[in-house]
Amino acid sequence: MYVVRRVGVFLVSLLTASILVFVVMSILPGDPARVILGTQATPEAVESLREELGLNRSLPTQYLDWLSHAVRGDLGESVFTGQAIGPQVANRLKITAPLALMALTFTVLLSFPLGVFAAARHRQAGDNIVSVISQLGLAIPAFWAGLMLVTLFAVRLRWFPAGGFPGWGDSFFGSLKALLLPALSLAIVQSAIITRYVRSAVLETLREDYIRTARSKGLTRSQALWRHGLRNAAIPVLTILGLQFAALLSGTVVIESVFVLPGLGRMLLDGITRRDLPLVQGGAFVIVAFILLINLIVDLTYRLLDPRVGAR
Amino acid sequence: MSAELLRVDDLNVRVGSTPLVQGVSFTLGRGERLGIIGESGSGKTLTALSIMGLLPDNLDASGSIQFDGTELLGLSEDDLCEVRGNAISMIFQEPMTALNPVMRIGKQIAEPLKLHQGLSSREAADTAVRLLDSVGIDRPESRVRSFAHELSGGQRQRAMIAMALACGPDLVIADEPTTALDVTVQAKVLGVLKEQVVANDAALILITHDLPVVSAITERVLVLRGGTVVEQGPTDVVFGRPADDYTTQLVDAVPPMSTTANVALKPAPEPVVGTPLVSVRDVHKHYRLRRARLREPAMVVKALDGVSLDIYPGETFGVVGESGSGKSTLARIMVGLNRPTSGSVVVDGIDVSAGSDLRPLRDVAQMVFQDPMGSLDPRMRIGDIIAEPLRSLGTAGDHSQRVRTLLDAVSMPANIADRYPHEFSGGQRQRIAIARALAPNPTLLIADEPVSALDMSVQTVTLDLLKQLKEQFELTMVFISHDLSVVHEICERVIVMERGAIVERGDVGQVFGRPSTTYTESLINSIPRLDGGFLNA
Amino acid sequence: MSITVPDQTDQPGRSRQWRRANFVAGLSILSVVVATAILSFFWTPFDPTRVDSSKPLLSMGQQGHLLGTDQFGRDLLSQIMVGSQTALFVGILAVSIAIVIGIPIGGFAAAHRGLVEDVVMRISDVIYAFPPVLLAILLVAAVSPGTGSAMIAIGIAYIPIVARVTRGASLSIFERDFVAAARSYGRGQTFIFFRHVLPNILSVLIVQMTVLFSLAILAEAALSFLGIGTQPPTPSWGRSLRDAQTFVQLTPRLAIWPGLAIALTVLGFNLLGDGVRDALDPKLEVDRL
Repeated sequence: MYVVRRVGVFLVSLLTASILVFVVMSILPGDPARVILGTQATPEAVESLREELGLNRSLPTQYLDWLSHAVRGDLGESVFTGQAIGPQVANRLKITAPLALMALTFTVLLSFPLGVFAAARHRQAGDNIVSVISQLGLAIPAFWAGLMLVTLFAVRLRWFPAGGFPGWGDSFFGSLKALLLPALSLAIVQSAIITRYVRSAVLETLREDYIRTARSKGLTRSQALWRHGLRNAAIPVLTILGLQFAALLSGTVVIESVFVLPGLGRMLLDGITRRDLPLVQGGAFVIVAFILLINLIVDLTYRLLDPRVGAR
Repeated sequence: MSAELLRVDDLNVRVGSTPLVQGVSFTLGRGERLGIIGESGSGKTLTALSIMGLLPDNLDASGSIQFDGTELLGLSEDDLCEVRGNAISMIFQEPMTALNPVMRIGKQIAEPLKLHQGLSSREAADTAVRLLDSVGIDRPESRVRSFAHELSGGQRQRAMIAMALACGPDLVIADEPTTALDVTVQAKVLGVLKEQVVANDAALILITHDLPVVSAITERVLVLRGGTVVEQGPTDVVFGRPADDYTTQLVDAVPPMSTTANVALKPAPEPVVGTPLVSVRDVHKHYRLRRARLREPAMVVKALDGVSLDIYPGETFGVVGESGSGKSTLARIMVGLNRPTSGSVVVDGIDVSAGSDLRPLRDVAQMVFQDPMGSLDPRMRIGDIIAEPLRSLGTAGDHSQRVRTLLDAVSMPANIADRYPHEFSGGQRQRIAIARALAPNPTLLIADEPVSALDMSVQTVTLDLLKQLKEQFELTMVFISHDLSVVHEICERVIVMERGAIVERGDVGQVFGRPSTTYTESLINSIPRLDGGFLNA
Repeated sequence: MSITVPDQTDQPGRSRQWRRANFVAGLSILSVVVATAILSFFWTPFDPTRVDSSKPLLSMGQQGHLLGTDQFGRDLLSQIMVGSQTALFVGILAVSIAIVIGIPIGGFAAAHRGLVEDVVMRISDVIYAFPPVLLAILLVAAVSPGTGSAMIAIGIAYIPIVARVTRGASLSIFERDFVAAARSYGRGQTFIFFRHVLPNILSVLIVQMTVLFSLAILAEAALSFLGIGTQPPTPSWGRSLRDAQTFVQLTPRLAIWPGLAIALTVLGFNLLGDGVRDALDPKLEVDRL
């Protein structure tokens, strides 16, 4: 029942998101037809193009039309290049999705050990050092971290490429290498946030009665932490991780710009400069859908960790 | 006297420079059962945690704790781990939070067995089943696979007992083990605890605020107050002929129903006359739960299931029942906080049933809540808290004058109006809450467990105040409680509720003296009595 | 069971001093930033927007330019000083939008459980899936780039955060008996929210505001870096970094200084938030382990 309800919520959210994207793009001023034809075009030409694009129909009709195509994976055509948007988005996702997941992996690998370490050394030097590092990490914009990493590793040390993407087909390891610095820039900031959450979740858990029970059974502090504390602490951290994914994904838009990666973010920015509304609409919708999907997965995983979920 | 097992000598616990426990000394023989009694802040829990070596980090213990010839204070953490759960084990107050919510019960019980006795997972799991069986949990083979939230409160505490006894300890420390439980469950769990401790030849330290519980289970008792021992000795001697004033005060505060099995028959109150002030007819209150499985119908909880009653002007009407009996729901409906699903409720001629206008009810019926910490807005001054109802109802006149009168009525100085709730003790806050309830000059005062959160000695004073205010303000009072002895003391007529329905009603003397249903009888027999007879109820 | 331990205000522990240091550091940093912003209204070493092709990429200290000039010959220090105006301005307005709309929504959802709450929170969940940068991209694509669009987009994107935090904190307060008491003497849910609930969750909200403030500054920087936030000639730290990107290999200095300005301001807000959290929640933590 929980799973059914949660998937239902996901589908409704997806629909709401698509309406939101559509409404923002349609209601706000700016006529795509005029954008395509430029300011010199005659009113008649604009009107006929509006007709051709279906822009003179009512908004609900336009939306339903867009939706009925979207569910079949057809996101329309770019008004600039005339190419189908669906395959373009799929292509771009091949860079953005691995980048986001790689950043997420780095984040988890960095923040979990640091957070647990800080909690275990609560109020000792180790805790304070971690807290200073995470304070600094929190204050840095991800793209600036990217710029600095490029300066250091690409320009000075020449270990990594400063930007660009060879393509998975041409060079798998080259592609992986091209994503490493961007993913790291994103992970630096995200880990700072998650470390703080891990630390406080573990500390909170260590104050629970059942930890004291565990110790009254003869478990040492660290045994109580590993056997009873971590799984309980993971529950709130997982929620935050899911929510932070939205921030991480929007971070890719900026990072792709720093490292000149032809991902979804670049596509959106190019779409804006060319006033290519269908392209921006399609791209934005796919990003939001991705975020909602990750949150669905998080909620379902949550249930595996916490037997109380769905029982009440 | 048996051989000495534990010797606590001049134990002191302090935080920074503030002493919390001072110079506590006592001894405990093998297989002996000792009660430590005290009100909140007496240091009884800290004494227990000192023995376990589980004091919070910012507290320091000094003195000496000799267990079986070994000094525990200052013992290395590794050595302490050998002792905990093996030679000394502990049972905590709130079994819901004391059990790990995401680990199966069986694994939690098996843990000390694997740790201390080197049992394999399989052997430990089998032993866990046997342990659960011994503490009286039915179908133990399937219960070991349950999580804490799937068990009832009584079952959880039985599981905790099983866990504490797993390694056959020499000493079991139980800290308020049944305070969170209903009386009937408490009687059974205490019975199991005593039986298992005896069967295992273990010594017991039972920590509680409840004299009858200590009296029923232990041979010797230690009375703590403000971190120091005021009296200790054999239980029957200390409670029978207390040497200390404080102990005398505690013993005197034990309600009559808890002293002997024979309830003094209260004289029947004068027969009720006139038209009822509150009239409840066939009231139902249902809550729908979310469905757990797709194919199952949504569960409906019947908090109230066909309740009818009349309350007459000027009487004190008791409502008793255990948790989940619907007594609080009934109270909330009478003051208009909840609406009934069906049925009619009329208070002083005002219809309170579904869909009616509740405004006229506001200066007729007021409520006093259980938890004096939660019932006062922490960000408001006392004067504002009491004046709020007057402002809300647009009462004419000098509000600050009225606040002073009300504070005086509840025996609080008028100059506290500028202070905040956190500056007062539980008993004082409850007085302030009573003053607020009296502000709109109500005719009906509904008190929902008004003394349950208070220490025993404060309970008595607060009950006396309520009695006096009832006369002074010519109130009709509905008194809701799980505690039969308190209801016996203050009420004239009473109803007994079980699972949303009234199972018995009548004069207090008659209902408690000659109960006509087995449920009421078991409630009465489960009340902890100084003579300990309730354990076999 | 809970153990309450008297507060040791007479003996401040190591951690208490440490946290106080956080607060003081945060406050000092922010004072400098605010003072700089105010000063830059009246005086900057050079005109931050004046292009001077005769002195591009001067290094630090040359011809009186303390931090040097960019490729257009503009004084970097002056740009950073005026950039603080943009950052603070965006922060204040975006956070104002978020709290003015978010707090009532969250309070409303907490006060009216059931279907209303479900619908409100579901919609806010969906908006939550639109990160500020994405929302700004949509807004800018439809209208035009600029500080205003960026600010509004950031503000809107933070509404669900404020609404969620408000609702979460309010729910437990609404369960308390003093709320039941207020209802029993006739107060409505709206009055109860503003008079009884809001004062009790204020500390949570203030901390949230400092967090959002720093997030807003980071978001504005990101948008301006992408070229869809603040537009030239208005100086902005993100904008400066965008301009610096082309020359970052040659002169990292152009990227380092504006980045440090961002990091320092955000750090100031975060430290302040931590300090406020501790000051408003003076309960001494009791460690079980």
